[in-house]
Amino acid sequence: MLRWVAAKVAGGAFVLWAIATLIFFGLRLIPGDPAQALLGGPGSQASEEALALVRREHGLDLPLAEQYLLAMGRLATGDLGTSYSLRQDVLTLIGEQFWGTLLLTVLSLATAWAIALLLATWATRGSRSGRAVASGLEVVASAVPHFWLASMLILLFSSLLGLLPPVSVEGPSGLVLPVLTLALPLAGFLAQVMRESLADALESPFVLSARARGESETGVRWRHAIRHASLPAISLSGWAFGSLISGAVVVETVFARPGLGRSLLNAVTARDIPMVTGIALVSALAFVLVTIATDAIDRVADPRLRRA
Amino acid sequence: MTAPLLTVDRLSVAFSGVTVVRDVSFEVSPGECLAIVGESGSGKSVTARSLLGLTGGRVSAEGLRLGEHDLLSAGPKQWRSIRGGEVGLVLQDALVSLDPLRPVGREIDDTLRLHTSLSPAERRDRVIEVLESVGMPDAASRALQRAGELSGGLRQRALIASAIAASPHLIIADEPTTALDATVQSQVLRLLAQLRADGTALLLISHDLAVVREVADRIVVMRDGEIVEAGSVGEVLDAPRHEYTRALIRSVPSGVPRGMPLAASADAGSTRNTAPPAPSTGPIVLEARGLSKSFPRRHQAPLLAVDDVSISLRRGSTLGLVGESGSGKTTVARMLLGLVTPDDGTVDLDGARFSDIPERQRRRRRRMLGAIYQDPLSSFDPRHTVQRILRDALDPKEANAPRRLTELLDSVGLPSSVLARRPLHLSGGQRQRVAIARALAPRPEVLVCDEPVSALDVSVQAQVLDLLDELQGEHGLAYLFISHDLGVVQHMSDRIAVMRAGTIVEEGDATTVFTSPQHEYTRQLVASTPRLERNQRS
Repeated sequence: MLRWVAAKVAGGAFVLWAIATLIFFGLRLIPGDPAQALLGGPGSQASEEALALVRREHGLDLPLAEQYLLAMGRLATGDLGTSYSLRQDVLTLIGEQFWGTLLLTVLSLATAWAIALLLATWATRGSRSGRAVASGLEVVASAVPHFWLASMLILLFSSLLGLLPPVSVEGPSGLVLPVLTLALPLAGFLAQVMRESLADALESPFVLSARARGESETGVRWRHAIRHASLPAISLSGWAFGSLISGAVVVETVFARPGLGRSLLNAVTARDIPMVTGIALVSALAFVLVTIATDAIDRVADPRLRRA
Repeated sequence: MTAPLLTVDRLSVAFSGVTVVRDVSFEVSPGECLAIVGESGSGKSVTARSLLGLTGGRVSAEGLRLGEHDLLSAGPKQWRSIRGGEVGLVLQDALVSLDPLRPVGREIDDTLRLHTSLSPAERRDRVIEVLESVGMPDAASRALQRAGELSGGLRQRALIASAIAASPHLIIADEPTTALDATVQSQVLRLLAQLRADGTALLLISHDLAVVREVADRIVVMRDGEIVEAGSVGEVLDAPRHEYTRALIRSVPSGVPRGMPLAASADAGSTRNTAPPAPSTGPIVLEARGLSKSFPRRHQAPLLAVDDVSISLRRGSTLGLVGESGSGKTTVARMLLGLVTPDDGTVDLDGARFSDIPERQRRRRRRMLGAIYQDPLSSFDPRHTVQRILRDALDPKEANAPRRLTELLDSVGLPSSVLARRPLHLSGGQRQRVAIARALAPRPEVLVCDEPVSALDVSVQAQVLDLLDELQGEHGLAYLFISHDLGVVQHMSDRIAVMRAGTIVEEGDATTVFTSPQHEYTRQLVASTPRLERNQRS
């Protein structure tokens, strides 16, 4: 167990390093002068002297390899630098935005699971037409883009019914539409995976054994089938969390909700290199942690994995 | 005679309008074992499941009574109390019939939770008692293990324990020993016999007449959803009245002399030898000396799967290789085929070295070696037609000769109409024939047959065994015949090698090995194989 954790942590550290490196060189490939961005963006009329001063201050005149080593050294100590556009410590800025996005994505993941379980159960239990409707819903849900779904939800629940605010406000009511926007497509996708493995599990001999033991239909599902059906969906949840983070960029923008996604969009527009790097790294860290967590849950749910 | 516990009167089961069980009637009394025998599709499992209300089809009958219960009018709640409480079901292969994610003790606990009013602590003790009653060693710690962590025999015991935990009056055992090795099978059969002796009624579903002979009191023979014959074990097996029963009994290879045809279509009473018994005279075509192979394991010493095995195959004769699962039979076969590199030892094919040479030199000589496996379906590309499958196996020079394809199909007794079909749309017997045709396509000298009939019904098995015999006589093929079924091996082999834990413990003439086994393990193996004694071949 300890060796497993150590291996996962080492793997995660490697992923973070690789991402930091990719971002560092990737951002250098974008045309344009970072010093210009520092002094107010492409439109600014900064003098040559001012640019030279900024370059020296930020080490931008050093050879690329040296810049890279310096940057990595700073990252290793947890120093993400200062935002070019907001002139504040990146870590502090991210800290302000992080929890909102985390709440949004975790709630969306949980909601997606709940909806997927319902859909999958419905699709394997209900009448023939009910099953057809359920599988149709799954396909449609997994195919709709976030921005369209967000607009439709706003149209329906805010403009027509007036039940929920069209922009994200403080409190639970402001979260409902953003969470639904992120959760519905994921739920459709997870439900498709679950439906298939649930149907397989319900056909398997151990379920026949359980029924022959006198287990009720509900007991068969909750004690046996759901666990088998969840295995592939658990494995996919790590990936799903990553897609939710990128989905947050769209959703936070559409609902005018503060968060990492919207900050990332602003930072990219402003060519704010430290901010982009910081957000990307924090998202990657969250993704790595969630992946380790889903692997751990997988091993709890499927003890056979522990021997392999 | 005591009053019957179970009465089935003119039971019929239909699935969306198609009747799969028609007018089936029988009775089972307490302490009695009734066996339903039949081949796949005969409706025997559906019949058994209708006694649990688990067919999923439309069940109708004049009468269906279990003790006090009228099963025809049982509602969902009554069914749930009958299932597990009055009737226990034991399926084949506990690896998939017990939930692989849960400890076996939990599965047994479920039965107790559903049918008794014991407290969780009392149930925990009872689980261990039940496990001990089915002969589970170290029951307390086994209860915490999952089916996959137990050996085949132990997990089948756990499955039986989960079925009998609430002391049902009737146990339905659906092919309870089919996936098990001979020695384990005899342990499980003894356990079932003991339950019957304690007064439980036993309904045994099986395709294996030898197993039935050992355990059952009475037999019902089913075919295409109907009962063709019923009676005591002695009546049905020793003096079968119906032609189908006779054919079924005749198909069982155990005890039938080498070379005598088994299938019903062969001339009755014919003594024509399909293969000329020419053992130990033909030249050696494949010889292995001192083969060893070990596989690395995690956190453990490497597994020595094969340890210093030497065998030789002669033209026109068969070497039978028997042993239980894990004894190394298949690893030997793979080394002979040049698919696994031996750690030690050599393989010579037709007098020239076949192991330890680069694959490039081996490839053109591979055509001399053919292989047939247990499950042909998984050894075919499901998208290929039979024509494509066979053409791919032909020598490139012959690949465009349609005559060769029909010739191949002829030799395995298939019509040329199968050429356009895909494996999925063929029956099990037809698939195995295609597999044999494919193995024959490059005109091999040696065929390695790894459990070639284990997945087939007994009558189809008889046809395939006859075919293999015929082909051997025709082409002078050398066979390495691997099987866990001693009856099949005895019928097919000139010589027999017995493997255990990676080594050959005994090798000799087939008749000698069976009639006077020298090694203790062979004796145990022969003794634990259920036999279908026949006075005379009818």
